[in-house]
Amino acid sequence: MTVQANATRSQRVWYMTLRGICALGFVFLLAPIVVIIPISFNEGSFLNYPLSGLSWRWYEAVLEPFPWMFALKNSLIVAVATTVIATTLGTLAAYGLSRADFPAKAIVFGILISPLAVPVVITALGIYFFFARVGLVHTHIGLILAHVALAVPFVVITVSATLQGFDWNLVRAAESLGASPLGTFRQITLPLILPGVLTGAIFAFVTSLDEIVVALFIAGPAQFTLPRQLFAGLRDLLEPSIVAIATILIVVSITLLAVVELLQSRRERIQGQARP
Amino acid sequence: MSSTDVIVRFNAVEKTYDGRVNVVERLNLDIYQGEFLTILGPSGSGKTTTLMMLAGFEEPTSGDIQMSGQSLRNVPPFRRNMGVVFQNYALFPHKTVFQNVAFPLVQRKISKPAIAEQVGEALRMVELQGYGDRRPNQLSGGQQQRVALARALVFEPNLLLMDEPLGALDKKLREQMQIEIKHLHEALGTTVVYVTHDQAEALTMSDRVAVMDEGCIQQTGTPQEIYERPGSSFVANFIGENNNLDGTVERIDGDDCEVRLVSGDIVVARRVGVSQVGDRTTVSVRPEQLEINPNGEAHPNRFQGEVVEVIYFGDHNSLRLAVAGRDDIIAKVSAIDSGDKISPGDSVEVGWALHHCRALDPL
Amino acid sequence: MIVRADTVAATGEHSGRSLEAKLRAAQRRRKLKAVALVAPLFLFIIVVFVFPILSILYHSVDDPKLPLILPRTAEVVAQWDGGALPDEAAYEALVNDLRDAYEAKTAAVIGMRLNYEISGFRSMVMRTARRAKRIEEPPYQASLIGLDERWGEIEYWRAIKASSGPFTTRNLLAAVDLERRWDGSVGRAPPERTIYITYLTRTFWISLWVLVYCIAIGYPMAYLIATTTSQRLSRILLVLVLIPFWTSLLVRTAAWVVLLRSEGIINDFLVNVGMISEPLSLIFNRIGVYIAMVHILLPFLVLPLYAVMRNIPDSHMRAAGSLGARPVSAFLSVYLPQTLPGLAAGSLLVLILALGFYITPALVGGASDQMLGYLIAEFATRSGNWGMSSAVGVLLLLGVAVLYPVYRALLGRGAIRLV
Repeated sequence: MTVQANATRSQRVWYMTLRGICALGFVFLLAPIVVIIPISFNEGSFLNYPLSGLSWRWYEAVLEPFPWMFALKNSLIVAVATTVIATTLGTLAAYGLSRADFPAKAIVFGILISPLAVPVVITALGIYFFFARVGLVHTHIGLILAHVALAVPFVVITVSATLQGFDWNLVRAAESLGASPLGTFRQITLPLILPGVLTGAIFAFVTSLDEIVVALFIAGPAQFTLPRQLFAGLRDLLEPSIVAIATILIVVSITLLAVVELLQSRRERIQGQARP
Repeated sequence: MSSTDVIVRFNAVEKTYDGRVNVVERLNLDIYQGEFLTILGPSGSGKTTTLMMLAGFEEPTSGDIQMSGQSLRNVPPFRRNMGVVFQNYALFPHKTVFQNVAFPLVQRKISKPAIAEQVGEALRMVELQGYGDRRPNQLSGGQQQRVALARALVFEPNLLLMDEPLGALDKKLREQMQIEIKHLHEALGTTVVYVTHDQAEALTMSDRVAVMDEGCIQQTGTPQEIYERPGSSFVANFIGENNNLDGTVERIDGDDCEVRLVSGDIVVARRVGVSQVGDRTTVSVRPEQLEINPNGEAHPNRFQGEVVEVIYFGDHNSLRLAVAGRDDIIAKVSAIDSGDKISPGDSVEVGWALHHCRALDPL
Repeated sequence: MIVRADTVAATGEHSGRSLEAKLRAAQRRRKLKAVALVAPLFLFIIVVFVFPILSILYHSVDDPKLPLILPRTAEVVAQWDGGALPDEAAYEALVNDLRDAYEAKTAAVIGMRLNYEISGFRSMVMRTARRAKRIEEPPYQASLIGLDERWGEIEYWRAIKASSGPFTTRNLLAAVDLERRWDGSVGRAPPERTIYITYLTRTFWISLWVLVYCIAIGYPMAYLIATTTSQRLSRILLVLVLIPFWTSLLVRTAAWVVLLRSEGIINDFLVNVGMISEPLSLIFNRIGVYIAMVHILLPFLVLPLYAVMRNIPDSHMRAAGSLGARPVSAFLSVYLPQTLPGLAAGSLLVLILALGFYITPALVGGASDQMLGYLIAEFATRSGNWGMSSAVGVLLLLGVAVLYPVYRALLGRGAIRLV
């Protein structure tokens, strides 16, 4: 949005205000995230500027087995299991939906992504009731199953979107050249949809890693994940190790975001101009 | 066309998608070993579906397709050993040109050195040697086309199927590719089944042409037979330019007949699509068979007419004439022959031979 | 040279089976393969998600405790009309049931349940249950009333009757501040219980204001990202929006907790710079809730809006200008309408998310800033009142569900596009 030479005075004022609001908006979005990172390196235990010195002490505190490393272990177990299950189920389902045309297709798709349409607290409540009946509350398996339900819509959506742009003639070409259906899937389809599948997997991983509401309902102390532990920390005693954990999570998020961006641009490059 | 062995036979093949409308109707067709057969027809005629059934991507709803005497029912595409060139080439975007062409050989578990040799040969054949390391999105349309050809031929298939492969190319490139494909066919002797809606393409490239319309084969024959002796009005009008004269059969005389046109004039023609006196008919005669102001020749069909329009084509003139009760009769006059310039409004005599004129099914 | 039909050799198919039947068989096989791929996930979602959500509806009206724990009493009370104190049979049933309950250790559960009806009922039940085994023979009525004179008050018996289940409208009515009276009429619940409508209106109020702030800040931001001529700048700005989007909700809320405290960074800065003398109260109040919620939900508005704005060609505004429209009216009549689908999608997303919020207000808000989600969590995990948490859950679900038709009505059918 550049101001043209023939803009009127009121137009210029308008542009300046707009630019001002945008600048404020971006600062607002990023400031909290940026500002707390240095605090995690503070030598003193005050969550404030100016820093009394730089030190790794809070990160060292985080490395203690309890509570953070334990919570990290739980988070990783649950997130990895969720990712594997959700990606597999979601990819198969998206593939199945894209191959055939049955009348209820739209309804089925809607049901598969319905967890996105309901507030998480409701989902958590329902799952809590159900799991209480079948003894899955305060178990790792229960948490994993719940996370899969929350994460799988993202996989379904990303893989479906990828398959929409997929040229099915490639499958026919591969078969005409002698590849069996399984061989075709392995050599042609999977490599081409892999960026979409990986993106979905990353969404699933992040969803599970950051998930707090369901964990609040059904995770017992033995299953406390990082967010759950973080929540307890925020409620009770505000300690700088909280900020260290937050910083670590921020770095992880940004890294995963970067990976997804890379996957997207790689996909665009490959499928770019391969058609006449 | 070399041997007369039938390599593919379509037996009463039918195809429907919704159970009510037949996309392909009781199709019977023999394809001979080594020939270049074109299936020609307008869009929606069922020609691509026919090709897809041959390739194994669609299943006939009824009827059978046989190759070398064996039924292809239940034979999946990857066991049919046919090379297919798709309209959009379907080159694998994540593989290099080399890997694309090597793909069928990899499936057949050929050794690496042998693959390298055969791929090299295939690329040389389409004049793309040295392009092995490029990716499809780095190639032009024509180059992608040639890679698709190389890939479909490298494993020496029994059949080469081509589904309107030249549709996306510009005119010059298309004509060039037509010649190259024809040369490849002559060099390799592979049986080619070619699908197109472009009748000029069909005439120039094929040994035989099967003309399809609305799911049925209207006529099968050499390009000459199709062009010079069309068996139906559809074929006559679909291939090349054609003049139509409507009338009723008045007299039958063996293979010939007399037709009274709507205008009252009598035309004598070969009896093709009619059987008895009183049948309605549309008489077909090609523009180049009409002689303007013929001297010497005594044509049985001679009429007086008026030039309505003259269109200049460089090497010939196309005249639109008002004659025999119609005003849309086209005649072609070569540039050399128009000694005296013919202009709109001129009164001319139009004549043609009996054997150039066919009484076909009414339009 | 048409090959004639009579030269066809009869192979395989005979035309006995109709064309449609053969076609259907082939289609069925293809459908089966697709169904096999979709089925595992479909079943999973039905079991782990759809069924639990539906069970919330069930639990909002389910009332199994009394018939389970005090079966004899339930049976007798079912015949009682509630007009006058029940007779000896009821008291006998009650004594027996309470004795069994005490031994089975379920007395506290039924005490809790009855306490929802009348405060103080729980301790009454516990005390009576402990002594129930001492009452072995009639007169049961006199003995019970001797133990606690409240057993002679009809409200308590009516409360028992009201709790006999198996279903009850109590929770659902309570969730909208109503209660069912003895004469069957429905009226407003006692003041100490009419908090729900307050929570509901507060939840909607906060969500709507959050949406307004998000649009006020987010629309210009999306516009900037979409219309910037430099591709690089556009990408950078987009990444700047994506970073907070990818950062977990809890981390962002935590950052705000750290920032907004009275000894926090913002206040410190403002005091040091001399702008204020006393720290501002930015946390544990409504301001903190708005700040944090807008921060979290802003990307959800910007991203769909940007996606739509990106596809509006520059030529439209230029055409409007060349046709004589002034910038403001060109914007209002040409640009804005085309951004409506993105605005609608983003707004719907923000509202649905905001209505369900509970973590953030719990961490940065005060007692009077809590939303419906908080009630749901409290009832379910703290007080074990499945009935009320479900009822409030139903309330929330209805609140969310009502958004869809409202949107459709306001913006027309094409306005909502998912993802």
